[in-house]
Amino acid sequence: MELANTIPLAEGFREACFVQVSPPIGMLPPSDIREKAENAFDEILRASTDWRPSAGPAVKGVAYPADIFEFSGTVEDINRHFIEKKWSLGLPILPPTPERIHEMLKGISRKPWEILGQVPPRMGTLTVELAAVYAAMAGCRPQYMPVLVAALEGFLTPEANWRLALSGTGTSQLIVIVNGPVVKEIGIGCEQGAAGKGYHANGSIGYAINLIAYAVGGSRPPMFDRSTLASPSDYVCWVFGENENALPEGWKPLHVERGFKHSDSVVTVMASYPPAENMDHWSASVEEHMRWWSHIVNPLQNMGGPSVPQVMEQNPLIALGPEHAHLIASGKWSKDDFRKAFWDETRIPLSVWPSACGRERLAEMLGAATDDSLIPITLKPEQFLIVIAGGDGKQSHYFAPLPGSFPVSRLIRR
Amino acid sequence: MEKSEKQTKWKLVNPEALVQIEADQVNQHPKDLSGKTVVLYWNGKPNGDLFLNRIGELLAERIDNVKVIKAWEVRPFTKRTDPTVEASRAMAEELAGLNPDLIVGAPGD
Repeated sequence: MELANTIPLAEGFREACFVQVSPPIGMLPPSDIREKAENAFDEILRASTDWRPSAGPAVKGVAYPADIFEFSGTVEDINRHFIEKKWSLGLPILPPTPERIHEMLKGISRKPWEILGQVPPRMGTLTVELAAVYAAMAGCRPQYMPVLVAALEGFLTPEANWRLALSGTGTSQLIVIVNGPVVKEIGIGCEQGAAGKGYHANGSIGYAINLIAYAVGGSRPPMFDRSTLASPSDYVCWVFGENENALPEGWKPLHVERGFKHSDSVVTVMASYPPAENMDHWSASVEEHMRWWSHIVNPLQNMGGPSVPQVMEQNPLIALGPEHAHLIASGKWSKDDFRKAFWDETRIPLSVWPSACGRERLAEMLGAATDDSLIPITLKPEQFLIVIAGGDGKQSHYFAPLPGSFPVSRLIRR
Repeated sequence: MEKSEKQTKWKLVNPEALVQIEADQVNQHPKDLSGKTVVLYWNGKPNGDLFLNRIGELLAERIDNVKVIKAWEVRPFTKRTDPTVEASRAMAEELAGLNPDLIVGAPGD
C-alpha cells in the first residue's frame, strides 16, 4: 500500500483513492480471486462514492540554492544525523561543507542552478548543485563530476525507467558503462575487476548515484522501494569502463556502435537484474561456447516471452570477458555473428511458461506459436548490447534488462 | 572509550531535495454510480483481470444502469506494465477517452 501511495506522488498529485486487497493475487486459482473480489466489493463501492480528495495546500519551494545549516559535533555525529534524516545510506559520508561543494562544482562547467530532473519515485528535484553535494558526500573528486552528471541525466531519461529500478520488487542493478578518453583521464577501472573494489572513481561515482536515488528519490525500503531482497548494489551501483584495448580486431566499442565517435567520452546507463555468469573454461570452439550460453541464459530472466512480451523489445547487455571475446573472434565471428548465434541458442519452448501467461500479445509480436515454438529473448538479434568487460579470466556476464529500461547513452561534457 | 575526535562547529549544505506537490488536481468521485460509466483498468499483471471481471459482475448486479467497460478489451494498449511517467500519461489519455465517471484499477502484483 505504501508503494501504491507513491504512484500519485510520482505524478505530482497528493493522493489517490486505494482499497487494499490482501496479497497475493498472482499464483492463485480463479475461485480464490473471485472470493477476494467479493470480499473487497463493498469497500470498493464505498470508496467509489464516498472518497473525496483532501484540500491540502500545494507544496512549492525553491530548489536552488541549497540551505546552509550549522551543526555542532564530530564527523561521526554528522554521519548519525544524516542517517536519521535519511540523507545517507548508512555507509560513512564526508561532511558536505560549502567549501567542499564549491570545489566539486569546479569540476564541471554546468551552472549549479541547472535542474537535471526529478528523481523517482518521489520526484525530488535534482540540481547540479545537489548532485555536487552528494558527490562530495560520496568522496568523489571534482573531475568525476562530468561522468556523474552524464550518468544521472541518462538515468533521468524516461527510457531508462529509473522509477521501476528504484521502487519495484525485483533486485535491480543500476549499470554505468564508460567509454572513451575519460576512462584514462580520471582513472575509471576498465580492466581486472573493473566493476569491483579498489577503483576510487568507479566506487565513489556509484556511491553518489545511489545516495541520490535514496535521499533525493526517496528509494528507501519498505516505503517507496519494495525490492523483495535487494542487494549490496543498492549502496554502490555498477560503474566500469569498457576494456577497449582488449577488443578483438574489427570489433567496435560500445559507444561507437551506438553512434558516437571513437574520441568521444560517453556513459551508457541502464537498469537490469543481477547478472548471470558464464564461467566456461573448457570450450575449444565458439560453437561449444555458444552451447554453454544456451543453458545459462533464457527469456525467463526478465519475464520475457508471454509473461511480459514488451520486454522482448529491450536490449540485454552481454559483458564479454576478453578471453571469451577472443575465443568468439577466433572463429572469425563478428559481433553480429555472435548476436545471431546468441539469439538462436537462448530460445526456449513456449511450453515452459505457465498457462496463466496470456499468449495474445506474444502472437501479435511473433505470429502464431505452439507449445513447441522456440521463443527468443529479443525480437531481433541486433538488440543485444555487447561490451568487453574486465580482465584476465574466463568469465562473462549477462544482464537481463529491467522491464521498460532501455540503455541511454550520453556524451560526457566538461 | 576515549573520544579522540573534537567537537566542531560546522556549516553544512542541506542535502534535502525539493519535492513539489500540486493540490486539488484529483476529481471528486460521483456520489452515486447509477447510470454512470465505470472503466475497469487492468495492467496485465497475473489475475488482475479475474479480479476486475468479478468486480464488474457485482457492479452490474447491484447498481442500476451502470455501464461497465473493461479497458483492456476495448483499448488493448492499456494492458501493460510500463511505469514511466510518459507511459502513465499516455495510459491516462487512453482511459479518459472512454469518458468514465470512475476508473477502478488493479495496480499491484
